[in-house]
Amino acid sequence: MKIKSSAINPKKNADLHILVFNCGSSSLSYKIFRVNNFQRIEPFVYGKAHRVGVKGTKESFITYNYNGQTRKDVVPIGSHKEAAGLIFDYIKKNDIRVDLVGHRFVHGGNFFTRSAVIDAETFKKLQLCLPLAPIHNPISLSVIYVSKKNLPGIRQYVAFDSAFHSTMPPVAYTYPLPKEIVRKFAYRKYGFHGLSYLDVMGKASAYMEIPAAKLKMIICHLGTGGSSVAAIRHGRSVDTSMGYSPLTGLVMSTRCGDIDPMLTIYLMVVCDYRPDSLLDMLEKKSGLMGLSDFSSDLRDIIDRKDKKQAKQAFGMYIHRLKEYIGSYLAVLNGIDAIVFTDDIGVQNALVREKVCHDMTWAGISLDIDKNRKAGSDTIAELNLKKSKVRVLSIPNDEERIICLEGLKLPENGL
Amino acid sequence: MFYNDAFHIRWHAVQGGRVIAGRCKFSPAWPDIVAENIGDVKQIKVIGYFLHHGGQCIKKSVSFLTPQNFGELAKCVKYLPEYNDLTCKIASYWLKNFPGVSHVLLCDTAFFTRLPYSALNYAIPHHLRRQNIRRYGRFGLGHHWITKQMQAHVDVLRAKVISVYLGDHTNISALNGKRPMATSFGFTPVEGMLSLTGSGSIDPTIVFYLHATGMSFKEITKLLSQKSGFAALMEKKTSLAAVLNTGKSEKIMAARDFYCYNAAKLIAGFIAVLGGIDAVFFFAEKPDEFGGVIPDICRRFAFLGLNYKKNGDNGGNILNLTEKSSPVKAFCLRYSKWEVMEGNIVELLKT
Repeated sequence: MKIKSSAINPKKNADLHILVFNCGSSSLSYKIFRVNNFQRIEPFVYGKAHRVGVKGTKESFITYNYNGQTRKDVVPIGSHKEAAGLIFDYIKKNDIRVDLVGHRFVHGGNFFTRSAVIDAETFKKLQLCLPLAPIHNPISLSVIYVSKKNLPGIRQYVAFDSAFHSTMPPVAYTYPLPKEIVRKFAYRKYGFHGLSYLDVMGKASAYMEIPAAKLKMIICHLGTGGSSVAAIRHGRSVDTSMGYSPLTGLVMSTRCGDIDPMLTIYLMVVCDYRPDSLLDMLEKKSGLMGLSDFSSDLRDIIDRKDKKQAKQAFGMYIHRLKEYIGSYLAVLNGIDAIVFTDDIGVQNALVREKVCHDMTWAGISLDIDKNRKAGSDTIAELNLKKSKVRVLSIPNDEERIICLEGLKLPENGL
Repeated sequence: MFYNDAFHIRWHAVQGGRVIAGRCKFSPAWPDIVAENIGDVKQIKVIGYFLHHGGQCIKKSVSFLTPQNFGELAKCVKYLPEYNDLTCKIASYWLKNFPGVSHVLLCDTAFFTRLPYSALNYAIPHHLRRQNIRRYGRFGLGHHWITKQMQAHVDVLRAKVISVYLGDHTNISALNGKRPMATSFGFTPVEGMLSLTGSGSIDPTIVFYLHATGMSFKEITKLLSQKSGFAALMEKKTSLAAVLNTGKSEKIMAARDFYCYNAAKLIAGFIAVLGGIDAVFFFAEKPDEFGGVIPDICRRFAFLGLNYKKNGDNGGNILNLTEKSSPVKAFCLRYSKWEVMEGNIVELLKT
């Protein structure tokens, strides 16, 4: 069975269907947006494949939401490719039309500073980007393969997490390494979670009723996998905590965040670690997992605060986050707002409370009561009235931004 | 007092305010060269040794060294073999040949053994942390000295202070009263600020990518510690004075901006760790070399009320850089490692 599609033409297509894929390291989210005359954008099919490629005691499953019906299938999902296959099966079975497909791609290196239509040249460049984010980029490309196979002839595009940070000034993105090395390998800070920042920045500006071009804000994207912080001045990213790769910066669930670069050499030369196993350890066995010795999930760690390692892991998570917020306060010379987003950012009141504790020197005063009562699915303002800086919790929607990027691309003729 | 790097020995002999200074390459003849330079070695009453890295073994900044506890010093060699081995050899010679005098060990990392857990450790697996993989910091004697100098200017028990050493290896510490709460140097002095030839903090995955291109670990070590930093930004070996205080070329201005930007980021990060700030203390062996960057760094904290004053008030050895009304103070001090070593030794002997 073929998937329905139509040639893109804004005049004829008053009702455009855009399928968006968002690969996480162990999940695959998807949404099909219905775009009505470019006025209303709403997802009418959505769901997520969970525990993709994860070996463990818990089972993989996939959810589908369409026409008011929710379905959950518990099935083995060995890879993102398999997950994408299941989604296309569902789309075919329900005879859902798709006109355009958007994909999230974490690291566009110095090849991409904006979203791009996937043609032969783009495809080659995407392949060159694979080693830059070895956890994320290959799985995104595998979903693109599946998508092209199932929707031949349908235009596809990629939206990059790193593109938002292309506005960073040289002082923020430069590594002081020899110029010939930097030129040859394009070593610089790229930054990630750009789609989330773009979405949340717009929502914060709308909520505050102040144009983004007049705001200085720090956004903390705190996810269950990766986390980062960005300093945003007048609608543009000016610094961020992740670097050339998504390994650096904050303490994450299994990623170590910042460490002494010489430490890696010491471990390989003196302690005889092989490069691949050491990198694997820093990416998959460090962070909260390495500190607590029992879980990479911040919720587990908070639940077991009686345990010494859990308390220490939580303490270091907050310590590093506060350091970055402090740094960016100086970069921006003071701020108008601090925003928390993504799963931990909007769901975890304790993290927000600890981060904002003892921050009155920066004009940040949290209303403890509002913070504890805040819901996670709507925008919440959490500061005291007297606070000079507004504290917001804003749920993000990366898929919506990917959809909007597709509408903005001139090559799509929209 | 002895201070060594990997190949050279320096010494200062002090008697009644008179200083005899010397330097030689490490060779079998070094004891004779020292004796010849100092003169009557029988007059020596105390000998001090500067230890670059005390690891997990030396936990006091200043302590007596005896044949009984020499083993602890020997255990430190593994932490920084190229420097500590030579320190051990120097101390061993004098301990053996001058048993009747006091021997004092001055350890540059000991001050930071009291860092809180979150500032001391990396978020790496438990088995690596058990192998002493942690932040050690450096310039502990300098930052410890600041805790003494600040007494006249802030509430020494509760003050939230940022201590900034300006030099070839600029580094920054957060002090809560007399206790260190964070420091910018890490497992090695490469982490933190860029130096004349050191990269400072960079994404560690770059090490893996460079290795994958065929570079050896020795070459990568050399690249990060001897070919990066200001030397890379300026595309030539240079001096701090040339970059930070004089030239006005585009490249120099960019390098200076890079330095101030990263110093301000570290300082502000530590302010957040402390939960506020009372004062910043800059200290340098040649403060004049930093006359161009101190105002720049200070102005980046105007949003906190640091009110920088162009011509500071000179109060003895300390220069107040802020207006009286400024809620956050800034000071600048001239620092001499030899004088600080001597002061520490005298203080220990008194107790």
